[in-house]
Amino acid sequence: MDFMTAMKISGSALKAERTRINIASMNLANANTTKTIEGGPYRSKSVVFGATPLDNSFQAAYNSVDDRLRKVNVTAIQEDPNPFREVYDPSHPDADANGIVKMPNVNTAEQMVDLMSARRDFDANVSAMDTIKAMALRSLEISR
Amino acid sequence: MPFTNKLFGGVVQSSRLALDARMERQGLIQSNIANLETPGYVSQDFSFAAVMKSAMLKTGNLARTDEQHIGLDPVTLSESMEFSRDRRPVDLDEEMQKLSENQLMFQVTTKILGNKFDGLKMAIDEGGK
Amino acid sequence: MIAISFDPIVTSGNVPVKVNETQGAGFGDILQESIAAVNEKAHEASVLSEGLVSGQHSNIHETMIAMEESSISFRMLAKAQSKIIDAYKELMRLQL
Repeated sequence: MDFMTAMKISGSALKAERTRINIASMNLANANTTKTIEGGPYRSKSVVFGATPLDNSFQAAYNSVDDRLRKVNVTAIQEDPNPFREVYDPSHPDADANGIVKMPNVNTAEQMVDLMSARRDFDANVSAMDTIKAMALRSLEISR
Repeated sequence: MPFTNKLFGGVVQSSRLALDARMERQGLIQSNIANLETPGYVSQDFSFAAVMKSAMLKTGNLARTDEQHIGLDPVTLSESMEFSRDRRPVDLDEEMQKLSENQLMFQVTTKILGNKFDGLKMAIDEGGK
Repeated sequence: MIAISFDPIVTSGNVPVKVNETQGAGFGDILQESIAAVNEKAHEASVLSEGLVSGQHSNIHETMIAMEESSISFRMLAKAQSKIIDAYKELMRLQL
């Protein structure tokens, strides 16, 4: 376990959390998008995280702790399968024959919470990265 | 018995092992923090004291020129992994606290080591004048 | 590195005992061992530093420790050497 490895772990988390933040932001921005390019209302998306081992080619076989280290990736971006909300609004340009408009299945409260949670996790990983940096710099002082 | 063993036994040796163990633990803490919300991931850790104890008992001269063995003996580590707790997801507050603690102790150890080295140099230079 | 050998022959009873052989051999061994140990430390430091700067590993603390140990070992050996030389000179003065 050395510094570069540690940086990779934190780096992966920062990237993953950023993606999560982006997706949540996109969901919120499109909470009222009734017509997308593909046609139909916007479908809420979510990220799926997966833990992956590090590829330390020269250390993998020997160091048991290295086996247990995990970085994190976004393994998939899923679409929310929940049905669209139906709202009665005949004056809406996308209303159907019955005056029903299908609205995106974005749960804004949920997205806000997710956004804040992602931000907190992101910050936690920034702290972890700072810690590692401090430790590396401190190591240099062993030999003065 | 080469003088280097006597010179660098004791505090130097245990500090070295301690730093190695702290680094390994740091890796696990970082994995935990990175995987806070990864489904299926369980928090990992080992008992620092247990690893230190068994490492100090076993200490011979760990080969440091072999790239793959830099640092703590992997067998010692894997044996001590038995001490990690039961399986549960990551608790952020706990991990943040461990993060601080591990860092602090790492720095304490480097300080002690640095001082020891300084002391040795002084003893050699001044010795028997 | 100066090899020290004494030449006094000590007689204990009727048998002349060559002191220098036992003393010289033991001392020489210790010296050899010490030089080997210093070399080993220097080698460790060099391998680790190379690995660190070339990006093969980033184990900073191990590298720093190896470097310090190597430097201190050299210092110790140099000090011991100067002491030995001083003692030798002293001894030569006494013998004359």
